Amino acid sequence: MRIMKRGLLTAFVALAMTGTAFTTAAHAEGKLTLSSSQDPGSWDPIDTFLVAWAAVSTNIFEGLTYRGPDMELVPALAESWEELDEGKRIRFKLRQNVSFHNGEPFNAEAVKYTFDRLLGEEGAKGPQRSNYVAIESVEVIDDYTVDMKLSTPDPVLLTKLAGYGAMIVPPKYIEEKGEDFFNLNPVGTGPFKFVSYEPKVGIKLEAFQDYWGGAPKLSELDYRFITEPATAVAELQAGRVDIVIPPIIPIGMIPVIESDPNLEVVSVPGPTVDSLRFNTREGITADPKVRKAIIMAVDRKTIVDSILAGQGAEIATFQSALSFGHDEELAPLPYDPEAAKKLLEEAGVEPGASLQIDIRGNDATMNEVAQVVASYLQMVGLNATIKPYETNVLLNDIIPQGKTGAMFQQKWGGWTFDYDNTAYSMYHSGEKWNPYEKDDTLDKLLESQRPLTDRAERERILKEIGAYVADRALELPLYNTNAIYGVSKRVKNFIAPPDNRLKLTDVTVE
Amino acid sequence: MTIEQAKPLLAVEGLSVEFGNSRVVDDLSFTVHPGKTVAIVGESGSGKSVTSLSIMRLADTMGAKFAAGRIVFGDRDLLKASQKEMRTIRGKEIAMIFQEPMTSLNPVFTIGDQICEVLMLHEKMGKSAAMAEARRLLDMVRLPDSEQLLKRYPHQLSGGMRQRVMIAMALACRPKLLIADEPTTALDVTIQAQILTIMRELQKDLGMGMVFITHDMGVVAEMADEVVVMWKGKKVEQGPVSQIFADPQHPYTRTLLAAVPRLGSMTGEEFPKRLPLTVLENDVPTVVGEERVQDTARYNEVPLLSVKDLFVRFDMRKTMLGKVTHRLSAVSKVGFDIYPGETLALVGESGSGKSTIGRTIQQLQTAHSGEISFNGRSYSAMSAAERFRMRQEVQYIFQDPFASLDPRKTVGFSIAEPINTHGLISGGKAVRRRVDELLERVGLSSAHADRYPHEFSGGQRQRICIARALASDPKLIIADEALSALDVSIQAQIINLFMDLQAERGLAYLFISHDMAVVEKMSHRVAVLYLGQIMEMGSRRQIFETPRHAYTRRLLSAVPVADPSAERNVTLMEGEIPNPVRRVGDEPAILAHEEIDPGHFVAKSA
Amino acid sequence: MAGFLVKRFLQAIFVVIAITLLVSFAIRLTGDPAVTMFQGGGSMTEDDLARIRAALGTDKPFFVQYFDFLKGIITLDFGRSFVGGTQVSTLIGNAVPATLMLAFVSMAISIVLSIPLGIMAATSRGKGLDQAIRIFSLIGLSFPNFWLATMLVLLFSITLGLLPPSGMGGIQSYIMPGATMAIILTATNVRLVRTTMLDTLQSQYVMVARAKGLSETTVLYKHALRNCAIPLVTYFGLQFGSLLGGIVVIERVFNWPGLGTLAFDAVGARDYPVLQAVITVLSLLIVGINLLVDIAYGLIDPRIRTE
Repeated sequence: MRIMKRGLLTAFVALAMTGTAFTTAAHAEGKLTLSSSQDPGSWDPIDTFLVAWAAVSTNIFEGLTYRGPDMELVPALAESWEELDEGKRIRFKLRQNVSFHNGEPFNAEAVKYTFDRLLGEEGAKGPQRSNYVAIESVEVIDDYTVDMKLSTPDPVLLTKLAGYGAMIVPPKYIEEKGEDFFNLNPVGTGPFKFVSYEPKVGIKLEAFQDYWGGAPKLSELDYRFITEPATAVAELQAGRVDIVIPPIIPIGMIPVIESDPNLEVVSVPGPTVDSLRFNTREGITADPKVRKAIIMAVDRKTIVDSILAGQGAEIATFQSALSFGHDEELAPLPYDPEAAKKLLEEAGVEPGASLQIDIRGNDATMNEVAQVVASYLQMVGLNATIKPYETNVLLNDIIPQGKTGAMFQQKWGGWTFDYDNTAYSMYHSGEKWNPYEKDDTLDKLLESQRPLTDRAERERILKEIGAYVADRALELPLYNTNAIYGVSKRVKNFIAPPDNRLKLTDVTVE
Repeated sequence: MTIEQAKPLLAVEGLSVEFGNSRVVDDLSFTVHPGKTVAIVGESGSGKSVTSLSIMRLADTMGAKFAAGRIVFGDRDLLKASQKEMRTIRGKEIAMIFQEPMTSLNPVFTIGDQICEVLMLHEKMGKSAAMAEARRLLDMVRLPDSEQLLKRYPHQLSGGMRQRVMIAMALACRPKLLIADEPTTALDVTIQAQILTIMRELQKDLGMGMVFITHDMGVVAEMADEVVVMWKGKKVEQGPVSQIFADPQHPYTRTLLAAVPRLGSMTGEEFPKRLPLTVLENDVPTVVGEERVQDTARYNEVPLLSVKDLFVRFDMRKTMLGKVTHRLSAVSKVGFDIYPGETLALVGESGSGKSTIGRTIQQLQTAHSGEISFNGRSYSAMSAAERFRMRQEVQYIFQDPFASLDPRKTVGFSIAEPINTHGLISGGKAVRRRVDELLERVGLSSAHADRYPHEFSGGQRQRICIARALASDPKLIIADEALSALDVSIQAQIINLFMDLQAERGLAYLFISHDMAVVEKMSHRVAVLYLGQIMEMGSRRQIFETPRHAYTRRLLSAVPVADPSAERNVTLMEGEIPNPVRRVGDEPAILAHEEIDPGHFVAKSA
Repeated sequence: MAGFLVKRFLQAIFVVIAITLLVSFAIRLTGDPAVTMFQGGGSMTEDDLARIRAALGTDKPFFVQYFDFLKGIITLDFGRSFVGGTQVSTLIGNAVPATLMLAFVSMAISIVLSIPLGIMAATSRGKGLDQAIRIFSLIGLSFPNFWLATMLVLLFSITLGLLPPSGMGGIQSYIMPGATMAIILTATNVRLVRTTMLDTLQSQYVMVARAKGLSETTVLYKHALRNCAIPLVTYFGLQFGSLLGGIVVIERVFNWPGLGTLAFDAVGARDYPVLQAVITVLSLLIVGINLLVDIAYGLIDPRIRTE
């Protein structure tokens, strides 16, 4: 026993000593520690769609264009561009005196290499290619001029060039080191360069002193992969993480962060929208009157205020307010249970009629929301049952094969913030996410805006699509959720981007 | 008389020991003098073991409270000593040998380590000096090849060897007093004779005082100078050994001595004999029951059970591919008949194969070859229904009655089970009536049917097992050491029960036993087994009065005689019973038999 | 011994095949990794999916895929992760030491605690100390490990600021995950040690050891404990299997880069190669531990060694 007591005492002393050591180490000067909810596994831009990739890689790689937190498209590696041949060719003037982190120069060859690779054999192995299929070829005009030839005009292309698969990669480096090496040792032109990567643990970056835009103010970035929300928040509270990158902080934990004097919650409207889509082919929801009645029966504002604790906004169409094609004027159907009842009566729906709501089982917020929706429907005499599916099963099987209940969850979060991206997949006939609706008018509208280079005209058509969908009441639009960041107050000049693409050039820490 | 006046080594004075509220030793006094042996005799529950553990103060760990008395050793009262002080006495000045040699040694340490431990502790020896001394001690108890033995583990030793190791360990520090608690009870008679001889000689050499605890009056007669008879926690009689045997005073001592089966007591009798019993009735010894010649065997009929050329082998070692390399030949070419109403005894020591034969007959074990017939029908020719019926007609009674009764079922349920299984009687009431009858027949009452096994004593449980065996109305009962775990007085009652049932129902018994005296009392014919083969077979008289085979003679001479005045003429068997596991191809030689008298067969030496 | 090892090895192969076959088949029923890859991205066409499936090799028939995987085991090449294309062997190589270290630390803490506590409980059977130990073990048993972990983090990381709330690093990072597992393990182990010890203390050789004049400590820790070792080692071996199961949760809470985290992520992403490899490695580990247990028997118990 005596030995045991002494052992315990030693252990506690050792603990106390190491304890003090770790808290001080976390606040190193010029070093920012971030938690990211996922390890994308590869840093190659063409391998993934994961926002967790972008949260890191926006600092390593750059595209020809750049879109910051203000959502404005600005020049990046291309200093300027012009659309030629009715939008079928874009000429880019490239920035000069830019080099990759390995010293390799950035030039027209690098751009051509990047897109040849994306559209070629290597790109075929990854998911990114499908976003850039409008590009037919890239031609080098001179060292700092390239022409991008398109098979069809793609109005969203310039936005797409600002992220993911269009990130410019170093040709010589990849050819010499090989694709596998590049996956794990990324090299770009961005403000931070890669230092080390430990799978499932984290990735470390350091300031790239020769960055064309001037060296970043921070000297080190340390991203840690933390999948468990409570753990991420605990790390933030313990001062071992400075920024928790969404999506991870649950709404329920916001007060915990807010109550800590050293921390704050930074919340911005994100790209993610949720709706409950109707089965418009059969059942009571085949009748637009019933669908409208259901929309009017649900008080969406209360849902946003109480369940989302204000961390979101009501929507009229299936897009974020930041999205291109969003219509300020278009208001959602009002909450009016009396009118809803009347509509149901007109449609001949018996009180007590039942319907099923299919949702993603792992979506805690939607689980709550669906409960509330069901009770609103109960008040107008509809008996809703909620069926949570394993997410993959719902996405890969139930929805594409049209085996859903009367209502099913749709969730979308495209980083491009362009309604086309969402609407086409959601409403064009034959699309995977659109198992029930076949509407020529809608198909034509969707097709007509795609080749337009006239932004104003395209925006008008997108708004028309939004209004048409709302009028047909194809879905019960719910909300656009905010991206919630947990940030330590030692972090200065941090502007939270809505799309997780954090570029930390100007950020400093105290 | 001079010794009596000298200062005793140990004086137990008015000792009372309690466990909770029950007093298990009450006002016990006796003394032990150097070089002398005091035997404490008594049946289970008499408090004799608690007495020995109390002297060692080991009873404390079991929760014993010493209500009164003193235990004076040298000039200190051990009951006042602390456990710390006791530790300097235990193993050093007072040593102890326990009943179960198989479990007394720690299985995970070598023999050498276990002996050295005590030398290093008390004699402050270094490891190598202790090893040398341990070797000397093993030589002292006449264990061969002591050097190798030091490195071996208990499981590699036979029971007799282990008990000798225990003795060596106990004597390591030349204790002044040795307490031996039933040291030979679990051993075969020939091994028992060896151990007793060794203990006697070492006691003489070392001049130790000895407290010898036993229930076996034969052993008492051979070992003791002084006898203390205990009964229900009290000393009922004490005196020099010759006086106790010649002129027992207390009624309990008298009944105890009357119940002891004595080898040779049946000399001249043709048949087994049911003898009256001396029992205590209101503390007065009373003779009850009739005397009857047990002439029940019907030799003119077809043998009930016939065993021919039976071989049973166990595969002991295999190669990687499952090819057998070593076998134990448990039973080799054994043949015998049992006639209706007859008791055939199979006697032999551990490893003789006697139990294996019983198990093979009961089909609990498959034979390698040979034929067993029941009622003239060969097992191999029987249909499933016939086999089922045979299971009803052949019943088994085991040594440990507690283990063979389901502790969660009432006794009545256990007895009714074979009746229901074989559909002998239908209707709950009729079955219950039959159970009641059976219970009464074995000397219990019908009220016992609703109780559970743990509520009965060992003897009563064995009666229950007999009732259960009788329930299916068998023709043959195989009794495998069925009396070995019982106290002598109970044993005598059960022997009479067996004989009465045989007379009433014409039952045949296959009586498997190592106890020669019991066998002599109750068998018609005897087969002596050694290493799986029959050495000698004949009528009870032929075997016990004119034994021909050397092994039979040795076996008989090793049995302790419950008479201190008897001349000891023990032919000691040296060494151990050989290992019966042999390489395949090196099978034991099969001995041929010679009929020297009608029905008297003797194995010819190989 | 050689024969025994060969037998064990064949058993291990059978176990691995059976388990991986089951897991590989089951996970393929739960969704298409190609679709998962497009989540959060733009539209996808059947062509896109077919292209990705061809790249991942999931277009081949199940048994062809499974056979490739088995071939991979032999050459220690488990293929590439569907997420990011990292060599699975690299991921496994990083995760195995992390998990094993945590498992061993937990087992070690638990064994070091439960043996003296169990013995104390056994020797004071029915008395206050025994009751106290049993009540504590009952409380320990009723903790959900997730909750326990969170409470420890709140206390030691956030309130006291003594320990890092997550991640694998220096010795201090092992304390909370190790303790969480250990508390739960100890709760059962104490009871087991107590029961086994009570049995052993009934043995004759324990009485003999006391009769030799040995101190109670020697009797308990030398003579009795060695004999308890066989059932205890068996149980600890079995427990190691369930420990590896429980570690998945603990790894997630403490963000431990072990097999559990790997498996958890792999299930989410339908990352077949990683999941198959994790399961294979886990079953090999369990088989391996059981082999060690068997070898330990021989070391502990001469009756087994000398047969």
